Amino acid sequence: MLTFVLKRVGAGILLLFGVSTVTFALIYAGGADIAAQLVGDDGDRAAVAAKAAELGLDQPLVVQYWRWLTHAVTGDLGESWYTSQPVLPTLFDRLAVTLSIVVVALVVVTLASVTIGIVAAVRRGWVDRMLQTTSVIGLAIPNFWAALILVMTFAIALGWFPATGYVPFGESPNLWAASVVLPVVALCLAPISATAQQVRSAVMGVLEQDYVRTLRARGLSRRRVLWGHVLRNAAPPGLTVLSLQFIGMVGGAVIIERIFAINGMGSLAVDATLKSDIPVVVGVMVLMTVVVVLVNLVIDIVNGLINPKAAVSA
Amino acid sequence: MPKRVLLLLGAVVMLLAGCAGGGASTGPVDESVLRIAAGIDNDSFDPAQLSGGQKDNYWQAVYDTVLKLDYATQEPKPNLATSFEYDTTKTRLTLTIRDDVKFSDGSALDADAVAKNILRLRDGKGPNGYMAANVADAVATDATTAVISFKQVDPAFLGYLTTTAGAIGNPKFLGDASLGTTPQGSGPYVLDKAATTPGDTYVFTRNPYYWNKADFPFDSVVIKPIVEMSARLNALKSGQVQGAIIETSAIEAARATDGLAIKAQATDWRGLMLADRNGTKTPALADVRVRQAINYALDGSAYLDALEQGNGSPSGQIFLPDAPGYVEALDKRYPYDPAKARELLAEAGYADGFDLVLPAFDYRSTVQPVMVQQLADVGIRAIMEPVVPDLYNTTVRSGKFSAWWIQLTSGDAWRNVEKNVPKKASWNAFRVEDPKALQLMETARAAYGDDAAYRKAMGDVSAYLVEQAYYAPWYRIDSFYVTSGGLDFTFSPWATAPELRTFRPGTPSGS
Repeated sequence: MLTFVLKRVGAGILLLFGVSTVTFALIYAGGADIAAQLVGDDGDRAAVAAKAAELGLDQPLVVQYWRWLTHAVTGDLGESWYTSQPVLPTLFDRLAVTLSIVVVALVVVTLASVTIGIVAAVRRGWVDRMLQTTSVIGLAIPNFWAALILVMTFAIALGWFPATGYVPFGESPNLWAASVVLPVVALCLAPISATAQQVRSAVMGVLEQDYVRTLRARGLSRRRVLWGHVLRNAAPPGLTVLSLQFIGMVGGAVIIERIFAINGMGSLAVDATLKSDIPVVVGVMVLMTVVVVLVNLVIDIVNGLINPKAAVSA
Repeated sequence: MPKRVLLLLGAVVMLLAGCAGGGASTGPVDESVLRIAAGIDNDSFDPAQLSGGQKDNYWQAVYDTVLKLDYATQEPKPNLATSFEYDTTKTRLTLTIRDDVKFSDGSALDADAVAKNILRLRDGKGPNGYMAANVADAVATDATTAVISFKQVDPAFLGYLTTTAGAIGNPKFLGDASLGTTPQGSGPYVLDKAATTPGDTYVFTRNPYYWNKADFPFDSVVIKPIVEMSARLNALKSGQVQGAIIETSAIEAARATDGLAIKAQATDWRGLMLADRNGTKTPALADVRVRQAINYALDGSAYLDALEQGNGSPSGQIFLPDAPGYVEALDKRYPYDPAKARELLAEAGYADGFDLVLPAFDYRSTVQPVMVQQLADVGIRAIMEPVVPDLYNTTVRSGKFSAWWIQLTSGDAWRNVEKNVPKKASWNAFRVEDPKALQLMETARAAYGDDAAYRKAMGDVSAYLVEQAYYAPWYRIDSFYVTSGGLDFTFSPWATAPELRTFRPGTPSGS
């Protein structure tokens, strides 16, 4: 298992290096324009050149990258060119906001999709058809549309939840819970539908295995077979889909955060990209890569624990 | 089992809904707190790096300005400076600074602080450095007297002192890197860093040393940057904020909402900038008849109706009504007349038209195909090239395109001309030299100080720019500010957002 984890960590570091290099090369290429952007529409060319020199944008790209990389490995991702805020603490602040929504959403997705998937696979018949139909509808609803409808209904018309904003858990658990309900619901709809379909297929596949019939023939109760054997063997594909959904929800949070005016990673990424705040953009990319690598690592480890063959084959 | 699950879910929802009562309250408004939304986040609190427009309210909370604007006359009036006077050459300005003003750390604001801030603005690399570009020197002759000398007469300078250039930071901190995030001013409020989350919520509490408390009735101010238009409107509707800028695209939704009050005023002009007047990239544009033909070819009034639902007014010039330089007749100089456009193109030798490469614009882009078609109708083959939306302005100012769509503030009349006409002007992308325009500008500069003569001279400048078709303006667009929860304010001239000092608890007037 240790070798397995080390291999995964090594691959993650390589990926991190690759992503940071590509990101840096792609967005730093337009450095001269960015200096002009920072100086403002009324700045003259001398001021633009001075700003470019101040930021090191007049240096060759390799020099700029080396400088960034040598700072980055010490945990210094620089400062925002616009707000002067240090990038790393800003990223952690924003990531905490996004994760507090996405993790809750993931829990909801897990509970709902596993329940729906199992019920559909075990009951079959009209229950299966109804759940399948509902899942398709859930998949078809865009999360931004769902978010707007939820705001109009539950925040503006009924006044049950805040229309915008986010309250940190540490400030008030109650208000935090209220502030994440609508974003979580909007974020969950499609992932629940997609994951439920996957769980259903996986459970159905395992239920049709010979050993399941054998277990039933030996007198094990249906519930014991389901919870003790079927779900254990159906878990790996479900977990893989959940990890993909998690990553997808982090990406989907960009839109949800916009609609609910929540300042998480998504909003930060969009704002920084739109105004070419490059230290922040590179920081976002690096941190999101770390998150993706970690999530995949955790899923791989869990899969390996559930099914040792997965760890060996990796 | 499913029933129990549903009941449990229902209970959780109801519990959370109960918790949420305070967050989405539309109940009684706390009149001691001003809660407003900005459409954009603040960048820096460094006085030399401040930005205007929608970012005004952030710095207005923590910095006071040397002068303030008289809305009725659009002339500067005393604020930190009790008096201001030019000498006869208009190149030496004497400011008398109040002797009872303190910074938020309790130290005195004096004439030396004013002089240091002006010089720092000039020498810095901030977006407002141009405001002090004509300053030769600034010195304090005593504790309450600051003297600013100029390289040449600057008719816009007093106006600048009512905005970002007039924001005075504490000299003790002017070299401090933390100034960007920790403002050190003498404004009505101080930033409550403990309650502030940059990018999400900025909380300001009263500056105990502030000299003019009566102008600011709220004990605290909360500004939330909400970029997304629909979220801003939802925050207004649900009572989370009391005021916000709302764009034209959402104004009908705001009008349809009970309890929201809307005020509008003209701020910016939109249309085409015809920059390549030397014909460097597009030889046809060197001929004034071709530039005039473009003006005749495009139906700005129709764009105003279709794009902005009529929220603005057709325009043929870059100045706002009431501003020096505005000449009403110029708005009708180029009516939509494709036949006239074709005639002018034929006279200029372009009867078969020509290719005109334009940058594709992201904002209000639905007008693009119509504009392209109307240009094609007179023979001009417009080719739209994609550019990075947020680098649009810097891209077009680099001289890559001969002409481009633009939205520019109409603001101070002199500034409008100064940033377009001189060879080194920031918007003169092709470095075109126009001696006649410069001569008219110098006439206006010389007339500065005599209001009637200055207005007449600026009118001549405007007429010349229109006749030479420097631009093809389509319309002036209205800016909207929407309030709820019993908040009133006064729009300051040219500004997209009301000045913080104008907000008052009460029923909106004049909406």
